Amino acid sequence: MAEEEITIKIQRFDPAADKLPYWQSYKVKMKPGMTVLDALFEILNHQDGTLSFRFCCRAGVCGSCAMMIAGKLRLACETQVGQFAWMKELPVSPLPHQKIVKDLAVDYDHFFDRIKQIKPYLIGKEPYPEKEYIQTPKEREPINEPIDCILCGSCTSSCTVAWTNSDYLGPAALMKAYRFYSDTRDIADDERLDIVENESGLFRCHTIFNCVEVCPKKLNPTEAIQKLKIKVAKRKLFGRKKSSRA
Amino acid sequence: MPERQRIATTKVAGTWAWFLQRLSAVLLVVLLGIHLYVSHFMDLDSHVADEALITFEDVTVRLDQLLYIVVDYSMLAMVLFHGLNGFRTVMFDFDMFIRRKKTVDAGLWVLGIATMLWGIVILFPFITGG
Amino acid sequence: MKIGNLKWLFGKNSEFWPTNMKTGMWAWIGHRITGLVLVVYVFMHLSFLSTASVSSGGFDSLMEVTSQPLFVAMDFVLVIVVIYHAMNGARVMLFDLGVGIRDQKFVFWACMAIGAVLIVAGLWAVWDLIFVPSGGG
Repeated sequence: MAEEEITIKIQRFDPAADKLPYWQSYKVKMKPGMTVLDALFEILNHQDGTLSFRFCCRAGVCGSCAMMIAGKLRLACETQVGQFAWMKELPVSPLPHQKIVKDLAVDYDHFFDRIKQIKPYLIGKEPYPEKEYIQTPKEREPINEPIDCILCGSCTSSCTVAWTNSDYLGPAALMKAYRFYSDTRDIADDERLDIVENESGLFRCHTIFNCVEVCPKKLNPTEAIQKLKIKVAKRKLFGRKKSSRA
Repeated sequence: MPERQRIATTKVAGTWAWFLQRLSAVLLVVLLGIHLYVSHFMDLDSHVADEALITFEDVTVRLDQLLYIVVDYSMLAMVLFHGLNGFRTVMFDFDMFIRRKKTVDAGLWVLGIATMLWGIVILFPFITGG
Repeated sequence: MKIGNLKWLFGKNSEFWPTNMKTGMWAWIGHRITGLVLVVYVFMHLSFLSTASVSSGGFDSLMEVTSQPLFVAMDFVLVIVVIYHAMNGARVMLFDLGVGIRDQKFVFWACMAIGAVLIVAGLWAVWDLIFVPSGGG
């Protein structure tokens, strides 16, 4: 059974040369345990040297190889080709609604600009400690999950609102905001809420759950956004707590 | 790139719009229940279709009472708020509208108030009895 | 370059292809469509009622027309639309209260089940008006 072949249909597009993308099919011999990324390498090395795609760690940690595989956003390095053996052709296309650099590689600038909006860094209490901020395991619990985000861009690409509204921060950025908001070492709570309490921030989320469906790390950006919404609403209805930041 | 600097430039909080949308939704469900019951079931003491017919007089008799007037008008206000605020949410999902936020808001307020006035006038013949 | 071509935006490998859309996406699209339909309906409803300000006879004859089975059936479609919008709205509000976000699919189908019960109850209430001929009185 090892010599089975699968046809992989790849969306090709070179902005310099093409007006519109086009499909190109490649036949790849399947090996046991072969991932889509392996198949793409097989094509690159033996069939078509002009194919472009992005990759790095090949182990689902870096988030470089997120792409649309068989109608769902997945990491190419974590997706086995074998499960699609029943399909006539396996469609592979880049992250939707993003600027395409070439073929399967997309421009992440817009995605990272969205993340930069929410100050994705720890704002600690001054004076800064000599070594580190102490945090007990229990205090870390709320951020155990959102800290796993690998910034692959799947959620923001799959979000319909993030597509039609380019100002919208998107699930990745909002979950990042939640991650720092609920971090006990971070003291800029009100400041973070001010950034996301916005018609282009929290209130563009209509709980479509596309981000939850596609997240390769099985995170739940929608829950993070909803929790922030509750915080923001409470602050609006019952007044701000005295700011912890001087 | 100028396009990118526009991200999150709309520094207007939508918390009240969001909260009142939920509040008006709850009120609407209650009011809609009353509205349906009053206009379709209250006088429906037999299953013959003819007698279920609403006539001008029926409505006039009903609207003699202040309670029904209050229910009808507050229902209209809630519907208009919920509907137009919902429509605003839909519009703000698109770049072209959220970047003209002030125009959209002003337009919807004008539309909402005008419709409310129109709705108030519509019930006058019923209240005054023709 | 962003691709704005319909074939590539809504094609088979896009997230908008019906088999690729998941529960939350369907719920949201349904909520949008029913919401827009209801906004349009409110204005229709007002303009129908406004015939009364012309003459009371006009209102009565309009009511007679709208009590025809066909119109009652259309009214019932409206009821279905309202019930869907309300039940999905209840789902959204549950999420806003932080309830059931992790079990969003179950919450959706639970709300739809309640909605289906309401629709059946409504159908029972208007059955006579749609399917039993009024006897031409």
